[in-house]
Amino acid sequence: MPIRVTERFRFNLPLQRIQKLRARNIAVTEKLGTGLRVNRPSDDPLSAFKAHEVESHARQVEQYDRNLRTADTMLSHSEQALGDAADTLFRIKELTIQSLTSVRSVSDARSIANEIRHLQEHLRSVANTRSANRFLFGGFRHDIEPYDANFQFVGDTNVVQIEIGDQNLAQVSVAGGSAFGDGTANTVDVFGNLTALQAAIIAQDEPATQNELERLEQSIEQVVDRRANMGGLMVRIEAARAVNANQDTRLQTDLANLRDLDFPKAVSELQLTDNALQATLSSSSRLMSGTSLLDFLR
Amino acid sequence: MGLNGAFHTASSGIRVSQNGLAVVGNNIANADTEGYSRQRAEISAYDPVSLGPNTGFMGRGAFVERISRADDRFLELQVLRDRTTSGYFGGRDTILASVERLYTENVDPALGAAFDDFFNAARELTQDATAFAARLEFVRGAEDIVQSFATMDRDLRVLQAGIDDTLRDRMLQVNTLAARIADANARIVTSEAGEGHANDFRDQRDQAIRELSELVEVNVLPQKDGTYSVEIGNGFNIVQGDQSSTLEGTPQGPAQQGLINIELVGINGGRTDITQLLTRGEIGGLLDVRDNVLAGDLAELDTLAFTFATEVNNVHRQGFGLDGVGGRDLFVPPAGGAQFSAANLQVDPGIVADPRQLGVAQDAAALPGDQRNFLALADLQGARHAGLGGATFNRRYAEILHDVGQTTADNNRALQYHAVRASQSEGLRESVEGVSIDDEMLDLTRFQKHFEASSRVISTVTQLLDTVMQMVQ
Repeated sequence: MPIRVTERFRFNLPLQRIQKLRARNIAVTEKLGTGLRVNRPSDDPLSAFKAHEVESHARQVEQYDRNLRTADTMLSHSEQALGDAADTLFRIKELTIQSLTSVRSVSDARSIANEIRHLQEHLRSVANTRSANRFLFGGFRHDIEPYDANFQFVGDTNVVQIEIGDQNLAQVSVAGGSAFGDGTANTVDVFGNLTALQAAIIAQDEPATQNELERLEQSIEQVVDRRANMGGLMVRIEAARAVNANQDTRLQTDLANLRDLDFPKAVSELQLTDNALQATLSSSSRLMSGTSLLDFLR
Repeated sequence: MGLNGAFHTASSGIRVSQNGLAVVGNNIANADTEGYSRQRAEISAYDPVSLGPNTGFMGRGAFVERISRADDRFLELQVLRDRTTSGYFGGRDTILASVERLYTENVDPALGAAFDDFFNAARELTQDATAFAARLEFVRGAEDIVQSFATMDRDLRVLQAGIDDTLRDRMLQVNTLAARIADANARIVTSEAGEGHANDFRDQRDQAIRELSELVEVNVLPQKDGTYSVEIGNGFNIVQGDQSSTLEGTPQGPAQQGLINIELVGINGGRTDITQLLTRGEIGGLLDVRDNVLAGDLAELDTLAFTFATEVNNVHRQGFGLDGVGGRDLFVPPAGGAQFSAANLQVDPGIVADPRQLGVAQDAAALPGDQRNFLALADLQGARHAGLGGATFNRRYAEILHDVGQTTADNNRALQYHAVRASQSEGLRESVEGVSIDDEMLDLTRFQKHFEASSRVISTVTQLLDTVMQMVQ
């Protein structure tokens, strides 16, 4: 502080002080207005850096959540379809047993075979189930019906996977053809068996029907097994959704910690700068209008 | 000595107090003049007359020997140094704030978010490779990135060009100030040819030098003849005697985007490029932001764009479109074998026109549902790239953001500190060289009393003379 106070100094000093306080005042007001402690990287470069990474991660988690919802939809549609398929196969099994135990006439056999025929058609429409315009059981060929009018499999055997977390792929469909047969020896040919079953029933060929009943059991086992598989996958998706939601909450908390404003602190700082500004203004006005020797010389 | 002598002695006192009052009046009048230094009438006694051997000397009154001017070289130099430093940080300040705004507010989506959107669009597309809307969305994401890069690049260059405009204006100021200093030099030499100091011209010169020191670092060399030589940029004379050099901006070639270099046009007409030597003052600060900060940011952006486009293309080429065609680039390789840069990214027009060409499938035999190549593409987001020093795209961008923020924050702090220092040293200089009304009031009273006392002597002498006259009658 200079010892000799000159006129220009008397006016410049308060001006500088006032400007400095006003700048602080405005900075606090801005923070209160946005509710953020870090409004630009220079406010706190390290926090801004971390916040950017957290934000980016949060956006990724949002997308994972959308993927999870899609996975959930596809899996539950598949699961429902397979449940429907199992019910249909059980009904066919009942009919088959009925044909073995209580059918005597040709017409009875024909009507049972006919019902099985209708159920087979229903099963085809189940196997051609769509979810959001995609056929669920045709692997990557999900743009066409995987089972054609002759019950032939025309899809492929791929499994659709999508990303539901960092480096975490989830299966969202059964392998194409794995539930109803893909035309190879790897799987039970559900539709082919049903066709053979109808023929056996019409022919009232008891041993062949027995034989087909066994195959029908295999078909049921395959469908139920796939359905259980879907259930397992759905549990996994459910768990992943919970983890994802937790993660999202955690990221939002992190973000808040990194850049949100401590309101009470900011308000008291505002009060403080306000007071300081008031004090400086009133003392400055006295200093500027201030008395000099001039006022006392006569 | 007779009464006449006493009369003269007293009237010299009146003259001194009148001059003193004039100086006080001048000080008060200039109390608010920037750069004005307080003046003082320095009063000396006239040579006495000898009253003869053994009697001693009789004084003959006083006279104003010279009007001196408060001047503290040490404080002056301090002020120059501090103004140069605060000028440097002040010059960087406004532009750094604009640079920062550019990274945070200018582009929508900001580049960081654009990366996320891009990879999220890829993930969305993996839900269903046949979804046309998702393909469109992904292409839009790619175009957003192109747009973000191009906008950032363009705006950083606009800032560089804006700095050039400011530089031209500051050079003009330097030239004006140098001319003013040379002019003051000339007047000082003429006015001081006889004796004494041409205070007001010296004030003007000091003020011009102070203003100049804010723009460039100056080295002031006082000469024997009272002139100051002023050097800038490490020993180049911008003022010598009554002559001054000028600064001129010379546009460089297209490789430097036509940005200007600063040339010193010497007194003899010789030109020297002193851009590299101007490292301090406001001009130094502006050049630093233009050639280091902004140029660095542009290079970072190019590296990021290059790595991004190259890596994405490498993966995309592995994929097949719904038309069964593989090996397509997502980003068109720049013409003439140039590298990808922030300014030349472009999404393949064929893909823009028909997003079914996107290489989503890994296996041409597994169309249309195969989306495994985009699973691989989405993995690029988390991958660490050697071209980015082992960082992911997002992390590299966050690092750039951090550096921008740190540079600005450091500069804010330095500017605050040095602005206070500069105003303090200016305050100190003021306290020594400035005008205080209290001081002047005291002097005013002093000279008033002095005047009154001298008048009293004269009236007394006059009375005595009257008495003598009456004796004669």
